[in-house]
Amino acid sequence: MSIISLSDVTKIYRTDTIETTALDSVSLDIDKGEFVSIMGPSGCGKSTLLNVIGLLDRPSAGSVSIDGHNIIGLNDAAMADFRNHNLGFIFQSFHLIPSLSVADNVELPLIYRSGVSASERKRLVSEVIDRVGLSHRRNHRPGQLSGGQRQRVAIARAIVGNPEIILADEPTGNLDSAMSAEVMALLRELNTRDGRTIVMVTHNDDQAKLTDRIINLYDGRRIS
Amino acid sequence: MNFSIIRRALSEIRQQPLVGALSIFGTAFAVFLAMIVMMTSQVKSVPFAPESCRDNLFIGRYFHEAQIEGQSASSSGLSSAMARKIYGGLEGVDTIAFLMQPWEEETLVSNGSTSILLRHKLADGAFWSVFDHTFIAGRPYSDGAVESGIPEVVLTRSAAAELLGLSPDDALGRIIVMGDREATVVGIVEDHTPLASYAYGDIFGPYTAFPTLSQDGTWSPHFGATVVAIMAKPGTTAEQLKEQVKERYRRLEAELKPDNLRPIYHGGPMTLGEAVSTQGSNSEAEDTSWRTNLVIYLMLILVPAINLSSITNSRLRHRTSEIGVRRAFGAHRSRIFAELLAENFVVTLIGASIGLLLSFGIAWLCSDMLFHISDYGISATFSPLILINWPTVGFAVLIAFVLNILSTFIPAIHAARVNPVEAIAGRRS
Repeated sequence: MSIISLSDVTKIYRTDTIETTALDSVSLDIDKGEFVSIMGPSGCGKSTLLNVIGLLDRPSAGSVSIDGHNIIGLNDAAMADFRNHNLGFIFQSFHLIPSLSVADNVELPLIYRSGVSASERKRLVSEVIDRVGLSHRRNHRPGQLSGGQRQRVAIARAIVGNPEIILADEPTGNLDSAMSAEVMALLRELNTRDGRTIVMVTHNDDQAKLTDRIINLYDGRRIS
Repeated sequence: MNFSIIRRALSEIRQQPLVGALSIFGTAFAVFLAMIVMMTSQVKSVPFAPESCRDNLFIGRYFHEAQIEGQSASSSGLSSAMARKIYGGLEGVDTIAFLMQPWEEETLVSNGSTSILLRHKLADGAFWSVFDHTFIAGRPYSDGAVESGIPEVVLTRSAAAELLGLSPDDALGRIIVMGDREATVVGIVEDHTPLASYAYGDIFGPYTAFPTLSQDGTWSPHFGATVVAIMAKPGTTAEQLKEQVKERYRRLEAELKPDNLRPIYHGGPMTLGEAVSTQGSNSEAEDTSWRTNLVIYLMLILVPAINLSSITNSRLRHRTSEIGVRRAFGAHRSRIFAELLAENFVVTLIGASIGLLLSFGIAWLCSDMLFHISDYGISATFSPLILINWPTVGFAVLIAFVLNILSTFIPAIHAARVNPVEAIAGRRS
């Protein structure tokens, strides 16, 4: 059963003088609980595709359905709520907020969700920080952590709200091989143990082979 | 506002110390300037001893009359008789005092051998009920002294020391000479601030005992130097008092008609704000100080707000990526906007607190320059405590709030509207 379904999705970026087609009639279906990687050369539209799936960007044409909801007609606030409840993001550059502690960074999705009490937030944050093995670092700032630890914080932030789908944009792109393996193991665990659907953009063939399926893009088109 | 907003605001200052310091000190300077203007205006109306009654104090001081047939008109201060006719026995009044404020407020006072120049305040016995001077020896002059014109006087501590070279207790019963009359010292009061202008003096006596100094009714039975200080009962409004006085003027019109005169009402008794603003004896009682101050405040806030707005914009540019991440994880634009406003308000409040403290400090150190204290003679004191009151602190918070809105509104709207994808990448269109 598809949890993510894109049909003929096109994304065109326009400036006064240039029109760039980032995605060209891309269709795909990803089943619930799948771990899928998206591959392709730089500029082929991988991140744009992830942004469209992540409701961070609207397609110029085509339809997008996430968990049975057609998201094309949603307004900005409804899209924000949808992201908050259903999607978790992991970025290549971690994008942790440097002025916040590890715990405060992880708590971020919960403070934008209504109906979660402070004590409940605290409990959930502790749980996921334990799970990524950073209990001893909960009051540290991101600047005091290694790259691998930062990405584990980012993973904790992505799962604290218990989203069905995790979108990871080159999550190991800034990590050495040992830390990359650690992060991949964590993602695999989230997929197999929790049944979360994971869509990961990567350049790394070895990592892509660890996923259930590979979607290849070239010049904005899906080629496999 | 919750603690996480405060924590985040402080953390942002630590992250960008230079920009944070510029924001704080820019705000502090703007609040400092506005507070100095506010304080110099506020001291004319907030209550403090010996004018603790200011909240209920109304002033009557001018009289204006014109010929019914003819062009001639006169306006000046009130004679005590006319003051009593217009303001005496009003309903809703707790106490009413009649005091003299002639052009010459200083006179030579002698101890028999040497003379010094003192500011005199000549009044009736109710003066001591309306104003709360602190007696350190003796008593006020008696009502009997006022009725019979007996020359009893009250000196301030400094005046007693300067004139008699005696301690307050030893000065009691001594004879001094003021306005060609010998007078007995019956009381000594503590030195006080000349910012309480109706209550201020170095030497106090019954106006009936010193007619040459009080200049009461000397050139016309209607005109003189009487100021009426009306302490209204709680709940009595200015309008209620003004209505009664208007009725007195209607009666006075009939009374003066045979003399070919008609009185012209200008809105008395005046509130303290009106008394400060009213330019002269033939002007309408009107409180215009707020208008002047509003223009000054606007200028003092707008100029720094524009500068602070650029600084805020710069601070938020550094946070573009963070704002994108917040949006990705579900923050609505309105929430981002509110958070940025709240965070900046914390920064503004820190600046406002520094500005407020700075203004108290400067007002204290430069009190003479700001309030001309030393112009008022030997009894003039100044305590910065009279500047510290809830309206002043509340005004500083208000200024901070307005400054925050003006300096943050547009940058925060701009920041909240960023496209999340662009923002996460650190780009801001």
